[in-house]
Amino acid sequence: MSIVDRRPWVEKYRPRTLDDVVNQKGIIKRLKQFVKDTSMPHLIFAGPAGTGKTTSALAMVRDIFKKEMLPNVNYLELNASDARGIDVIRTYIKDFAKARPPVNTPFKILILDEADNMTAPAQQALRRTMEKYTKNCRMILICNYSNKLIPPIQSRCVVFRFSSLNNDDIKERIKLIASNEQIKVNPGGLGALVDVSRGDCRRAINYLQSCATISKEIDQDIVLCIAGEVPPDKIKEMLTIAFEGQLSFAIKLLNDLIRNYGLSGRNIIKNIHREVYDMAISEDMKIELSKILAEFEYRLSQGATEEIQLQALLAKIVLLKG
Amino acid sequence: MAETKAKLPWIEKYRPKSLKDMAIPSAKSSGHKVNLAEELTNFVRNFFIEIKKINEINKEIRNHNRNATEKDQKEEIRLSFEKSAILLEGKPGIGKTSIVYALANDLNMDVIETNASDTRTRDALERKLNETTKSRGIMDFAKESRQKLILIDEVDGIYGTKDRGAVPTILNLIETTQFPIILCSNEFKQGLQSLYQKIKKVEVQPLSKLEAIKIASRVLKNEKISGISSGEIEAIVEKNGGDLRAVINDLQAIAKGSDFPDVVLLNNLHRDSIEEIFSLIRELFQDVKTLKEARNLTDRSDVDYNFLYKWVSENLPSFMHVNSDLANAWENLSLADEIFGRIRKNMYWGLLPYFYDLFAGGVTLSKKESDSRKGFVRIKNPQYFSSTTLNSAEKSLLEKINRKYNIPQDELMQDFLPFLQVLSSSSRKHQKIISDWFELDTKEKKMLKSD
Ligand SMILES: Nc1ncnc2c1ncn2[C@@H]1O[C@H](COP(=O)(O)OP(=O)(O)OP(=O)(O)O)[C@@H](O)[C@H]1O
Ligand SMILES: [Mg+2]
Repeated sequence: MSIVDRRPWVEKYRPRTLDDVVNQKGIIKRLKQFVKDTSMPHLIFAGPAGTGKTTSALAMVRDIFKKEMLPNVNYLELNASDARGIDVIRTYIKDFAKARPPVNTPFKILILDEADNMTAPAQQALRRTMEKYTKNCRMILICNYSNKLIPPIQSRCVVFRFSSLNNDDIKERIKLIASNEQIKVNPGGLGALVDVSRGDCRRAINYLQSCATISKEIDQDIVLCIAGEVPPDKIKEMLTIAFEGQLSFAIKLLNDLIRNYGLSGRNIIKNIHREVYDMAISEDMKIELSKILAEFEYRLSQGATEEIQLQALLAKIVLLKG
Repeated sequence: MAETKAKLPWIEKYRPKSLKDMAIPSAKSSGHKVNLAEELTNFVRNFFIEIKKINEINKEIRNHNRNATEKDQKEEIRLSFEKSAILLEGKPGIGKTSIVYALANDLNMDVIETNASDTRTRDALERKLNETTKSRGIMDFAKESRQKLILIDEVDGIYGTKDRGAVPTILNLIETTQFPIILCSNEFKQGLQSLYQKIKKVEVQPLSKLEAIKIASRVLKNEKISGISSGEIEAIVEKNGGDLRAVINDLQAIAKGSDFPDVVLLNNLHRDSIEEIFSLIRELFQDVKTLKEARNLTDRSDVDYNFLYKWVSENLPSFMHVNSDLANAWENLSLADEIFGRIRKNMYWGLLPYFYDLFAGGVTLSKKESDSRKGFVRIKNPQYFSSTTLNSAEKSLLEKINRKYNIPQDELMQDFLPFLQVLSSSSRKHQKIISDWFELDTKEKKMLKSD
């Protein structure tokens, strides 16, 4: 088995150039324009996980350098696991920004991944470096939460907000990968993959790869099983019965669910929690329910016995109503 | 290759070279309006006049001392703090750094600068500033060099432990300087009082809409860009509240290309401010009526849970006053906190949704009694922002994964790790492939077991 085969698909299918990036059309257009003009301001890419921030930054670097990416020479990528304290910013980073770019290179690019994890003093230390050496070096700061970047840093950048992918984009991506990996995904399976990944493309691809370890033909059941989800009405039915005080009937329904959907106890609890928000009970009761679920999910995560915990959970819910 | 010649981003390309090119922001000093350009020009001119007098007097004093008996010795005199140094305080991107350079340029002076990108310990500062600025340097006689202006930029970026001794050194410099000193800062910072107390402070105001529009239009004209309507320029200016740098940056971002201006993108370009958290906290405490609303609010917000939960705890007492409500709210917050502890201890992120429920909905919905206190509530900033720290086994596992794949830490923990857990528990073979690939030891392998 070659090393390449072991790569998670999210890595294997990471877009290489801006043209390959399917989502964030407006932003990608801008980035292409910057490449075309060989001119760009400093940038902040902000947004939730799996929306293509790092991918787009690296793709842009690749496009600017015409595929000749030379780490430490024409670009530098640092993430949270690299040291990025105030000292590093004042020495290593400043020196990188200060040094002229190689010949035939318009400017160097510094990518700071997870910039929102940098301390405020470290961010302060970036301010003048960003201004004084712009000629040599442009920066792309990537973060989930741009409000954790201090205002003078935000002022020095254009802030692009990456939003969650829409379902069609995710479907496109899944179809492409599936056909490359010679996997069949039927429409039900495709829809389910989109549902369970909730706008996070990375998650969708991870689920796809997980499903593929079970079968080369993927349908809704496999996806729901891997993602550990149950149709909502089944859960509602069980809860209603529990609230009516019929403990043993509720337990029977629970056992059916476990048997029919092959769910783990923790997944059952998660499915219940998802329904809590819209149930016809008082808000206080919802909060109490949430507390109970938290406690039982925790016990299960610590290795407690599923049958015992789930029955005890239902019994508690029955009591709650009374 | 002409193409590879870098073009400066607009904010640097249009950094004003002279006071004439600038929009002079309005400014206040001890409560009075001042004209910033005049104020600074006068400050510099007066400094040189006064320092010349003082130098002459001191020369006489030294002459006198040389011949005088010990008890007739006189002390040399010094220029007062307010005449040697001036502090410009104001929001980012309104021209503080620029005005110093423009002024120096107009007066044909050199700027000696230190800023937050420099280490500013006593030693480092002395090396950088004192050497070049002490009087009577041989160089000064040798080539009749240009006068100098000292800029101590970003003083709020002086950082306690790493810049130890900076404040006394600066104070000492101000006392003995032969050149005028201008300091810049965004805001007051605890730990710098001893400096702030002594020097003259000028509050620089954000630029007016009119001024900002004027400069923005000039930039666009110079770039020969005509497709942006005045309404759109105004929208960009409005959004950035007097931060001209941000305005120019945003213009560059939208102004070129086939489909410009892209209105959707334009609406999406915005910077975050603390105000957003303020209004979020207000909404949470004052408007939220159901658990679902609370959850939607926390989901929708761009704020990190870890961060938000501290804001909630800090502001709880300002919004709730009835003891029974407070008891319930604190109980729920404390449960949330316990859940968070469990999450961290076991790296089990599955509990996150309950944590959200309890610290947001659980707290705000505890408010039952109608509260007599009405009106505006001031939001307080939380005191501590410690970000999550990992234990050593977690760290080493994440590092190993990170060596192979560059995935941000949060995503790694919340997304990628569970995925690896699923994969490695699906079969022995997978488990082995994975642990071989990442070169995991037994402790780390254990963390990948999901059940
Ligand atoms: N008053 C102004 N007139 C003209 N241009 C300005 C003005 N203020 C800001 N700019 C533009 O914004 C850029 C940044 O301004 P400057 O560096 O002076 O901001 P600052 O007040 O020092 O901000 P910070 O507190 O973030 O350091 C300038 O290069 C210029 O393009
Ligand atoms: Mg400045």
